[in-house]
This record gives sequence, structure tokens and C-alpha cells, in this order.
Amino acid sequence: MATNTLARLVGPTAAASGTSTLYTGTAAHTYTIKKIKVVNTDVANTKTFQLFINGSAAGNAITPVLTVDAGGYAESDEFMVLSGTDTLQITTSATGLTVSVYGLDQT
Amino acid sequence: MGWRFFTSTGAEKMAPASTVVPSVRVTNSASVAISASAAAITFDTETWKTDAGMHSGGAPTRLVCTTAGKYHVTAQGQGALAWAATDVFSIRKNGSTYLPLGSIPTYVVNTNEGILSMVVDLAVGDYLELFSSRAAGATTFGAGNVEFAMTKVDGAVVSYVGVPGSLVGQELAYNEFTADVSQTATTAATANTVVTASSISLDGSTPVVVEFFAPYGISAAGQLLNIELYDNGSATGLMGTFGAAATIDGTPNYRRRITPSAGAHVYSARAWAGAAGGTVKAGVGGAGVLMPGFIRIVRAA
Repeated sequence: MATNTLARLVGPTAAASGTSTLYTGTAAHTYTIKKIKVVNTDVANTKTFQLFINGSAAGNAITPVLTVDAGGYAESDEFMVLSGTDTLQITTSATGLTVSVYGLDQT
Repeated sequence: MGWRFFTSTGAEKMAPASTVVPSVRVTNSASVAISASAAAITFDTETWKTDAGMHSGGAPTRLVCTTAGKYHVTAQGQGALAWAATDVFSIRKNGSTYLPLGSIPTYVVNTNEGILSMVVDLAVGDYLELFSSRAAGATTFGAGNVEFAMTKVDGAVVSYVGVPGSLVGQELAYNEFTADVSQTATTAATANTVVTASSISLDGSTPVVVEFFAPYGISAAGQLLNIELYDNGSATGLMGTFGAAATIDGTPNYRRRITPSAGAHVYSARAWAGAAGGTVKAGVGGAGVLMPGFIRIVRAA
């Protein structure tokens, strides 16, 4: 039976320094991502991050390198879709970024 | 909507990409006929307009508000024949509302010259038209003898883009280190990383000041401790150096004004000396405790 579930797909989770996978979808699911929030919990240092789908090469990038103020946050309401076992990756300049992803999980 | 960025206080970060004061002035290149029936005057010449939508040939009678706000509106016209006290030289908003008095047209002040000046509040899409009539019979405004203009007066309009760092003096990157860094490297090419700034992206013509600070440093015996500025992993030069023949403490605080090439840059401060054994000192702060060191990048112009 088809399901439509609004979900917090990721986090809040502390992203590792460097490249890591935030989310791996499930086969036969379709994910509509509606909001991504990245909080810099380090009140002394700015941080950068970049998001990718299905890899971390330039050809997988869905954002440029973005900078978050010390103690600040960045958020996006851009509409994006992950299908099946697609993955969402992040590359960070350092630890201290907490990521949350919200969207619709459909089967 | 794309990415939005917020400070530690939750205030959204914005940076002006341009400062534009909406303004438009139109006139007539040919004589304009005025009849006994009030009609909107057609303007075929745009002296200036800051936004294409503020006037067009498709609606030549209208000044159109494309940015909401308060506008100083002026109109002046010199007729060939004198008006009477009940003739009309008036501005209407959206076709029907006389300004500024609502339902009452404004009458001319001088016998054959109308001058109007008022400040009005406009929403996007509101339009103004200049109406005139002469009950005693037709007259004309000669070529170039009528003008109609409006300029926004309640502050400059700033176009924002979500790109931090467009303001002179704005901090583009600030990164601290809170623990001692040992210097073991003996060449500039292998210098030990002390602190790395977050990546910044610039346009190739914007100068920045890169600053490095450490509460103090200790050079190895008989060595100078060098602080090398790195850009994208390559040494670019010594920001400063301290130490002497004997082990001496120094407080490194160096600045360098540079104009980075277009693109992303990751700057770092790295330490090296003729021999290993130096230390760049820093701490977490607190009473009697060394403060953090930092690298900081500020837009210079």
C-alpha cells in the first residue's frame, strides 16, 4: 500500500569533518526534501559545507561551498528529490555543523 | 527560495548588491492637446528611468510603481492659453483617485502654468497619470513644456542577494586555534599548519586583509620562527617572523593586504624555522589562560 510520510529524514546530526553520507534512501522510496538546515554550533569559528547527491565529486554537487557564521545557521527551502537508494553527502571544513533534513517519504 | 544565512543572533544575513533609488521623468517631444474633457497626458520621451517598468510606450500616460514606497511626485506644464480656476491639472492614481485630495482635482496655481508637488505612498503596480482639461476651449502644451516625474524618498532601495561578504570591512572568515602548535617544519613548503581560514570566494578584484594573531610564540633555540601565509595549499610568503639567536618569546600579530584571484581561496597560517622546536602558543581563554589565536579575513575595499 502506498504511503506518504512527512519525516525528519536526517538529524539533527553532527556532520563529520570532511566528506560523509548524511542519508541513504531505501529502494522503492521517493523522497521529496523540503528543508535542509545546517547549524554551526561553534561560536568562535566559521565553517563551510557543500552538499552532494550520490557522490562527492564536482559532478555530484548540488550546492557550491557555503559558509556558515560562527554560531549561525543556514537553511534551504529548495525542492529536491531523492529516489530509491540515492545518497545525500556533505563535505565540511571541520566538525561543528549540525544538519537536519526534512521532507516527504513516499512508497 | 534558495539558501538563506543567519547570524548567531538569528538575524538573516544579507548584503547589498546594488543601491538604486527608483526614479522616472517623462516629457513630451511634440505638442500635447488639451480639451474641455480631462484626459491623461501622453508622454513619449523618457528623460530617465531606473526601472524599465516605470514607464513604457505601451502605457505612455502612466508612471508605474515597481518598488513600493513613498514617492515625491512632481508635474509641471505650461499651456499656450491661460487656465481658469476650475480647470484641471491634476494627478490621478490608478485611473480614478485624485492626489493628494482624493476626489478633488488640483487646480492650477498660475494662469497658464501648472505646478504640482506631493509625496504619495505607492504599492507595486500603482500607476499615476497627469490629467488636464480647459473648459474655455482647447489649448496645448508645447513640445517639452510638460513634465511628469517621481522619485522614491523613503530610503535607498537595496537589492539583496544572499551572498555574505559584499560590504567593505565585513569579516569574511574568522577561525581560531585554542591549543599550542608545535613547529617541526624546516622549510616554507612543509610548514606546520597553525590555523586555517574558512574558504572564501572572491571576484578577482576585491582586496582583503588577512590577519594572523597568536598570544605568543617561542622560537627554537637560535632560530627565527616564521609565520608563512598559505593560499590554497601553497606558500605565498612570510607574514612575519620572530626570535633571535637565543630562545625568545614574541607575540605574532601580522596583517597582509592582498587581492585574491577570482574563485575560492583557503588561507592558512603555517609555521616553520631553520630547525624544529618552536611553538605557537594559544589557549581557550579564561582568567590567567591564554586566549585563542586566530586567522581573520576582512574585505578591504
